[in-house]
Amino acid sequence: MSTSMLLAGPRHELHPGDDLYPELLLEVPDRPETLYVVGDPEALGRESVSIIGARKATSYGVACAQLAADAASEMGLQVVSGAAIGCDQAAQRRAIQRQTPTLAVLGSGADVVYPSGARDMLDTIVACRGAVVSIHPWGTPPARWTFPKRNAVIAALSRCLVICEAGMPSGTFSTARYAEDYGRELLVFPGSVFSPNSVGSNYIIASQPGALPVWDRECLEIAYSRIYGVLRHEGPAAPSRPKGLGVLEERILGSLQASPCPAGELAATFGAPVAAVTRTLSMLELDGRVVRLRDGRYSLSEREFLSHNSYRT
Amino acid sequence: MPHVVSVKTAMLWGVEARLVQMEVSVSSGLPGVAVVGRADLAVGEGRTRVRCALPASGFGALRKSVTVSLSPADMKKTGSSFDLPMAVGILVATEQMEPEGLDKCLIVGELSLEGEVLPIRGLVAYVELAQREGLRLICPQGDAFGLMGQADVRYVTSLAEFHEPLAQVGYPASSACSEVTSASGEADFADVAGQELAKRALCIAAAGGLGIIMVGPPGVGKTMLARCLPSILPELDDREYFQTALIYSVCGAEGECVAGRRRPFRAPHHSTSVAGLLGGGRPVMPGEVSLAHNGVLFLDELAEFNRLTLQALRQPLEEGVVRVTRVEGTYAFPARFQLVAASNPCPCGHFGDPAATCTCSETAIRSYQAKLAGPLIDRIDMSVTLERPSADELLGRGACTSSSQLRSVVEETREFAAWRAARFEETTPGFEGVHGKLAQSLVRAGVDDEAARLVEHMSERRGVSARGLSSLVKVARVIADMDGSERLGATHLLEAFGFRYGAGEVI
Repeated sequence: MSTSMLLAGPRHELHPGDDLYPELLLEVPDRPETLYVVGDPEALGRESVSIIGARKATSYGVACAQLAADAASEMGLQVVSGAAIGCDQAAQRRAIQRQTPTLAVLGSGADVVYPSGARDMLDTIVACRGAVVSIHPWGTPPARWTFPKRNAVIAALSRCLVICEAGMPSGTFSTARYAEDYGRELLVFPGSVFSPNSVGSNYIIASQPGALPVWDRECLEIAYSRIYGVLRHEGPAAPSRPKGLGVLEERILGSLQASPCPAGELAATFGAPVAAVTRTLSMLELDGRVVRLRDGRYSLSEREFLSHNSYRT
Repeated sequence: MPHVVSVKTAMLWGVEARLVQMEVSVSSGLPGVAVVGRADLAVGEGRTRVRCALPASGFGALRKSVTVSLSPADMKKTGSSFDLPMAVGILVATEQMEPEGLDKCLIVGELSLEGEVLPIRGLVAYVELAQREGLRLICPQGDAFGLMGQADVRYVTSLAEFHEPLAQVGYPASSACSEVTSASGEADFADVAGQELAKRALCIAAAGGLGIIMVGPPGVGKTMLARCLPSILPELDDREYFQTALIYSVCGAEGECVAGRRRPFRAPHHSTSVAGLLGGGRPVMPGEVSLAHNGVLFLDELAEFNRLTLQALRQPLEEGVVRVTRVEGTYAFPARFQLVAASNPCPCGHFGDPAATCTCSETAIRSYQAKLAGPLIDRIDMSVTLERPSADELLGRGACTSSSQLRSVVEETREFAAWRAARFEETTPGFEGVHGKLAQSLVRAGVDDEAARLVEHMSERRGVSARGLSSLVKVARVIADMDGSERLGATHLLEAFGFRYGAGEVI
């Protein structure tokens, strides 16, 4: 492995019995004998929330991850996640933006950058009082079987696990299972009945007795307060919904709130000409209210989702 | 005393026929035929065919030494079209036939051992050459795509016909053939249920001759829609029809699809080699891109195409001509076509499909989509996402636009665009004070103030690149032409934005 692939920063190896070895890990039956850490090992001792979700995230999942990370940073909690594409990175990047330290638990060695697109994020994590953690020795390349163990560590490192969006099948199931085994709280964002990207998260709510559905920001904050015994000490900037939208705009935005939808289907639903729907979607997209997903469907933008869920005082 | 006879014949070089002067000299010596003048194997084998065909057609067997010289001597001769002129030359040289009128004839054709004259490829090219040189073409019967025009063409079926004086050999070809095929078997947009968005996009692409990609899960009708495209394109004009017929004739390809002046539609498989796509082989033949000249080249499963193959497409896409270079020289084949591509959104095809679960990993989807945005990105102006039609649409309860509706839109749009372009030339002196290609294209497109602000917004706030903007303006211009509007407004630009290529990204 070339050195440019490796993550730079102070390296530590922690064992049970060391002062810095996280207490929460000591509790679990299959605790790792060695924790490999790049960055600040103190970060392992601070209170944190684990936020995970699917790689194939829609903007709904990303918005949920950002909401969970926002609430955590406002309550002084760190964010733990797996640095994967999609929800994981959304939560961690949001935490970094809000100057909250974050812990990335990797399925490879802690010094091996994986996924490669996360390099800038991992560098920032190490630079900003966070840490990159692994139970695999230095230089271990990522492999299929290294990830379930990583998921166990993500579940173990926090008192609470938040699941943002998960399809079926999903790697989040194993993390949710570990969280329950370790007696952690499990918070899950429910999704639309019609969205295949939410089948997994809805299934977890239905099948795991400990899973608590989170339906808005207030509910999330109450859960954080109960679990960690802290209060929100920073008010959110509550964005207001601007008025002055046309009828078609309103209908499209309303329809996209449930789940992402292709342009043709919107046109068929409203009985509007495709050209008009395309124009309206483009306008909403240029305004930053909707985004086009990589599969060609349109979805509300993260900003638009969050503006529908502002904190009620 | 050797007696030398000259016969005019021709061979194919790329998509043109080149005149070849054949000299036949008979002298005493061992019976046999020697061919000089860079003849290849197929030409050489003609000697044997001619030796057998002569007595089989009732002429005297060859009992003399014959030398056949082909000039220009530095050009490599290939093909079997020299059999008939060689036989005629020998007949005249051995005084079994009168030479009257021989210098006014262009003779091509292959012979069987029994003396039948067999068809050859490239008839259209030979007809064109004969007409240009003012010669009478004597050739085997073949499909001349109804392009006889004023040319003097005589079809011969066997060597035995040369017992008659040369002026009476063969029967005149009539030009009233192969204009028959009706458009009944053609794919029609009405056969595709729903997919109104894709039809709208294809209509815009057809009106503007724009490159388009359709993305959607398998079985939603991408291929079928693409096949419908020629049905809404205007008919080939005379020049285009000649060019296309010439290529089909030279390739010996089925000409059905161009009969009735329909534009050709070619759909090469993704395993097609670079030579198959661009042209090549021995003798050098035009490839799929040239067969699609003046028509549509459809690349189904774009992501499955070899990267190098797609790279090779860039040059013809830019220049409208393929250049194939070989030791003997460079062949130039016309290749001006409309590019239509289709692809699944991911390797399994179900990414974003509500009816099935996608089994691809995130990285697999990313690398697949990166392939789509690869070498052809600047040659594709529009993209459209197709979705699975609903049961209502499949049962014909929804809107369903047909080809005839779309064809009239395309025709009107093209007419308006031509009128507008001509008017622009008249009324606008030039681009004084307007620098840069993009700025000039904005002026030419007649962008109004509101649309100009939108372009600015797209560029500054949404990071749309210059190339993306010029594509957008191109598409928007066609939409405006469809509206019959000289000014390009914000609404046109907004619709074009919905069809932009290479968009959609979350984290």
